[in-house]
Amino acid sequence: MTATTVKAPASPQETAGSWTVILRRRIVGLVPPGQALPDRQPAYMQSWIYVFGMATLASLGVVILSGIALAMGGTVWWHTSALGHYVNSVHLWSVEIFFVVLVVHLWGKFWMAAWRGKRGLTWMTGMFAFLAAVGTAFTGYLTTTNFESQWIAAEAKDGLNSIGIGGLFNPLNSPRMLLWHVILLPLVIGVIVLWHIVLVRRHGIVPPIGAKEPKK
Amino acid sequence: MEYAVSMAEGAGRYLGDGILHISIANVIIILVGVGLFVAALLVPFPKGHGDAKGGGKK
Amino acid sequence: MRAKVATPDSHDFPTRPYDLVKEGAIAFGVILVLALALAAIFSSPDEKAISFKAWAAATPNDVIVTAVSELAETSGSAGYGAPYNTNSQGQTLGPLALQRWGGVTVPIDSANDLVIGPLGSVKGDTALSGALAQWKAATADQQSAWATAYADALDAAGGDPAAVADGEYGPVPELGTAFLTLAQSGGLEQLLAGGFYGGDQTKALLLLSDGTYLEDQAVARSLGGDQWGMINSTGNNPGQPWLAPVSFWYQIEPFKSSENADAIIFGMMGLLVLVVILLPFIPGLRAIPEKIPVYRLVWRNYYRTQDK
Repeated sequence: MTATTVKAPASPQETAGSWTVILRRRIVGLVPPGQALPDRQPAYMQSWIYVFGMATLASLGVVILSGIALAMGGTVWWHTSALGHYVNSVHLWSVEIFFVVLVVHLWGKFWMAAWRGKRGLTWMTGMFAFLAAVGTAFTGYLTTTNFESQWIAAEAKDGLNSIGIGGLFNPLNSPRMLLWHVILLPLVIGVIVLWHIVLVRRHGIVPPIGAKEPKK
Repeated sequence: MEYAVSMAEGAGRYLGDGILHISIANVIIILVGVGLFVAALLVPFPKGHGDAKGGGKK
Repeated sequence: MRAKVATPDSHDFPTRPYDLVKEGAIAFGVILVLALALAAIFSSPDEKAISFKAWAAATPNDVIVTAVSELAETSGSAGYGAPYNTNSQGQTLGPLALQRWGGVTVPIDSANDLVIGPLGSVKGDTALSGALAQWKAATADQQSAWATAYADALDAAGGDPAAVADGEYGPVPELGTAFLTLAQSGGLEQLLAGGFYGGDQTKALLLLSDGTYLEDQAVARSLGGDQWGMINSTGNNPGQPWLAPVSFWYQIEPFKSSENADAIIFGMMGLLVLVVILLPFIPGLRAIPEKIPVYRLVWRNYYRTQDK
């Protein structure tokens, strides 16, 4: 059994039927007590492979911060300012780091069969986050307003048009791609990543393959 | 066609031809990823302070 | 085969001290410093966008050939199909005409939107106004006959308008030259950009892609589809290597030379992604990690204590 039946402790003054109370109990009950920010972890977690989830999250943080700094300067700032170009470089390299550690995290979770014990949704949300990240990186390249963005847009239109979505998602429409890159897709990633982390904390880290329930 | 500016200006360094054509930069990124994965599996994890205690639900 | 053991609750196992917040802070610090350092050392690519002025300066004949191909409706965009027009069925994925089914959602009339329209904005050129008037007064068949004849003649002359043999071209040579002049003036960008602020590059990029200059520049930088271009970047910068599983298929037959390569590869990748997403529920595939014991390395300390 995994911890899917966690109940938040009722406080004595709760009003039955209160929507607020229902929502609070839902939220508190998402994760077992103390597991949202745990200060202990299962003893079988003794491998460097476990740091790559946190590394992915940390590099996402650097990606977002450098992206915010770039956004404040506007779309063409970085073509004309040395500082802007440096911030752009930080944004690019944090993205490269992000994908490297993300892929290591993904390989690790695959070889641990980390979806065992009703953790299928955790794997799936992780994959969704990966796909959303790929889309965000792609729209980022479309947003660079330079030769590369021209060529990538011209090439990508054929792929997207070939499956009939080039109108809905027109890579040649640069302002539209900019909004996808800085608002829509980051929002999607944020929500999925949060969901992914809640699921990880809710179910706990998957026990080793073949592990039996410890004697109590 | 002839160009006033050399087109190879912005071309980076690449390995191989045809199906094995790949930029040095991408090779390095991919090798770093593979290397980190192998290292994560093989490098011993430092023993934490404090002994393991029994199950959390006890 | 290993007997199926239900996965126990992770919260029942012995624990040891762990500082999640500290791990996060250290990870953030390390990656921030790494990103700052890599950015300082390797910078990032920024090759100037190709303006029409630059295109006209580098390959004036390509600009004229492209403009004429728009008028003759033989250009890439003119014969594209959805979402720009209905002049082709577009790519298909087996029996699925996904491209056509997407509909004409970004309507583009290549001759009028990319060439005649912008030329009509030029003021004070009487020769050009005369040529435009002659073009507009002609029937569609006549326009097509002129433009096709001139396009063929240009082709025979190796793309050099000065070397074209005499023929029945109507106003097309005039229009081509005027279009080159407009591109050289630097004013074409503004006339092709969509919206008040001019950000939408759909028309500009379709025109640029209809020429050979953009692609030649890209291929010279290993950015072509069959050069693993999808994962590459300009200069010595890393690109998007995580797209390698998509880019790969463009390197091999039968995809490489297929008319429907994009549709087939996108369709295949969609299926593949679905398989990976649903991996935990696919018998056989989900058992791979249990058959190839990489996990023994991850949990070697655990198994060592269990074996005792």
